[in-house]
Amino acid sequence: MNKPAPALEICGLRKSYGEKEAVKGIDLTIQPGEFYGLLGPNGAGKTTTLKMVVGLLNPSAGSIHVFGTDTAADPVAAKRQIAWLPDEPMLYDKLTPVEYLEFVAGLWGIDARTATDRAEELLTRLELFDHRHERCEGFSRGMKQKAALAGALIHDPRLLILDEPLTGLDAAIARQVKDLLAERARAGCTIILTTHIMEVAERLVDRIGIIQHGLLLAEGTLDELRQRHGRDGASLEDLFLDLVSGKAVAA
Amino acid sequence: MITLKPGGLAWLLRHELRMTLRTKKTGPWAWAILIVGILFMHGIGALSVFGFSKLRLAPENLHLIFGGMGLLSVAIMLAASLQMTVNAIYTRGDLDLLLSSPIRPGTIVPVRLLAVGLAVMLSSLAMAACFMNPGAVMVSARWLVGYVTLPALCLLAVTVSFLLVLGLVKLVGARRARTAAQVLGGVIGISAALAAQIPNMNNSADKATQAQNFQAMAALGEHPAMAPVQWLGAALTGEPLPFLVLLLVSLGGFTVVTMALGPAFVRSVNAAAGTDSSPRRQQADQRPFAMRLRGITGTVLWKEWRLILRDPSLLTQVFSILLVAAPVVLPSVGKHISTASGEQMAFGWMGVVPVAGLLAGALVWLAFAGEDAPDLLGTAPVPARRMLRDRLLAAALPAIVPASALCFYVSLSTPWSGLLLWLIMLLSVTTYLAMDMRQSPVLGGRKAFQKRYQGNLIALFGEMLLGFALFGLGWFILKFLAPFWAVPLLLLLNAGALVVLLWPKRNNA
Repeated sequence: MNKPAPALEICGLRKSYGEKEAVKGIDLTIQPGEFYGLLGPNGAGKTTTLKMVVGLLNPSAGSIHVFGTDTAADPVAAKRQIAWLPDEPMLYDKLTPVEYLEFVAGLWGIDARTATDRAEELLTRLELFDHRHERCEGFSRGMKQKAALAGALIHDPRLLILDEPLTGLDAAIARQVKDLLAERARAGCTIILTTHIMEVAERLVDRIGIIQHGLLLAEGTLDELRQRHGRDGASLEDLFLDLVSGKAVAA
Repeated sequence: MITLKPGGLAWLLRHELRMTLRTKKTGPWAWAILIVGILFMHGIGALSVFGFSKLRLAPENLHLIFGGMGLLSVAIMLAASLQMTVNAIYTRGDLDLLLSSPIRPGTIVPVRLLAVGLAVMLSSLAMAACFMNPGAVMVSARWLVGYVTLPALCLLAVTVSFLLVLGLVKLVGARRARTAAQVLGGVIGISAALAAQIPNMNNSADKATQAQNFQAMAALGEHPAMAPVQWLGAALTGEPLPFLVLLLVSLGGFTVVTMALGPAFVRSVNAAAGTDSSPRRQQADQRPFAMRLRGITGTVLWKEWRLILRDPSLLTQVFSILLVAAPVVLPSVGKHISTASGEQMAFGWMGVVPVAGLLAGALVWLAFAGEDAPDLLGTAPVPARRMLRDRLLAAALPAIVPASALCFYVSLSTPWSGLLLWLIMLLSVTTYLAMDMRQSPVLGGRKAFQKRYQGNLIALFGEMLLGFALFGLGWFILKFLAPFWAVPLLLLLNAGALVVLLWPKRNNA
């Protein structure tokens, strides 16, 4: 029996802006159904890497495959399987959540019946149903982020990529988002998450990649990372800080 | 290096100027357009001054003409500054930071309004300079007094617009004041543009009619009601006493009004906060919903049209179009053109060429610079070229459909002229789309949109030049090219413009 293609396979990925090299050759493989946390200090190259995966930036070198589809050769087929949720919600202030979801569903080619059912389910689940006919301009940041998350999920993506999705959310909304993500991961969706909140990564993700200066510094489950760097019992925060400051050494 | 007292008027003004100047990135092509535009307008200015100098007018008639021009300038400046003052209040920018600082509103308000005044003044001076400079060379150095009187008029216009906006906020409330001010600005601007074209609409090659027109004007100048206009004209031409009074009134009025009404401005800003958002419903909305999906093109068109219709800047854009189109179109009203195909077409129909192009250009700007979620479009599983095509279509259709209907109407009486007019109109739409789309920043958002016409001389000159050029090209083709040559030429030009338009705009690498 053939082994299923990885959800994401990145080989020798590089990205340069003139003289400056933001990503210096990353190799990464994420299996279907994994919840992967990509951690790193500000400016490490996380967002640049993910933007290349979702097709917002062209790599300078290297290849990206999403469920076996080469994103350079067939970007449309690759994008069809991906949803991208950045920290700043990709919303239209002058549209209502229903109109926004209708637009996203239209772009991803979902049929009207399925789109309506999914929109109703997502809006209810994210407690936006009562506000479905109000324009997003009056929403709080948390409500906007939830509407954007509904947009990311309406086409039922196989690979969900979230860049700092919990930034600026209050505890209640952050919990709603985390619960929904955990639920999607259990249902088989592959999720890649970047966050600066170590507790979130520690609690939610299966595997962690730590990136710095455009290079993948370490990768594995939390236990594997602890073992590899001789830090048994250390919290992810301690381990992360040691790794990025160069204190941690391979055991 | 001069050290300015932090928090003082001069210090804040320097900050404001720095912010205004730093936000503009101008490439070599834009500079080239600006230089060509200025030279072209200087050419028109020199011709006008030459004609004007041959009239040998009596001082009272001269004052009347300059007074009338001054009034029209004030009206146009008032229209522009009304829109900018509204933006200064509602768009806010760094206003929250400034108002939360210990700087007195009495300092913030004059500086903010001076920035508005500067933007209006630069546009007006750039236009007026095209007449003043040739005037100074060909007639008298006294024409240069405009470099002082025009800023004074501008300050007056900004003061009046400030009072009007504050009055509107008080009168109709912060939510409605924005639209009311935009409509008022538009009405004033259009009225001024129309009034300015009245002499052009009445012009005649017939010497007797010309003489009659001047006699009528001279008689009008003797009417007592015209005394203030004559007085303004005297001020603008540099007569010492009226000139000094004008300077005192504009400077003094601006200082007194802005200092005294600083707190009222702050109250308006506070009242305007949140008026961008539609009011939240108090009760849960029980209306059901069913999504209607229309394919990718339908989805994109629907989204763009919804957003364009809901854009608070739409009104301003439409008025701006009329303002730019009026000087191009109105002189042709009431005249006929004998075409190379042997038809007699009303020359006014040519107006459809710049107006359709300007409308499409304004809408594409709304769609591209006003795009709130470019990353969503970038990650959608739609080929980039198709996305571009559909978004351009959304901007083009509202201009092409009514313009095509007009061309069809023209073709009922003059078939070849109607067809050629339609092809020229399509060329106009495509070229304006290409120009305005390429002007818009990739991630401009609302801020970039608000910058349009706020001292953006290059955009203004570029659009006017293109309007003149297309109008001239249309006239040339209709007048001199037989349909046998004109149709293939226009098809070729349209195809070329389409290729330029749909060529990948920017590479994200």
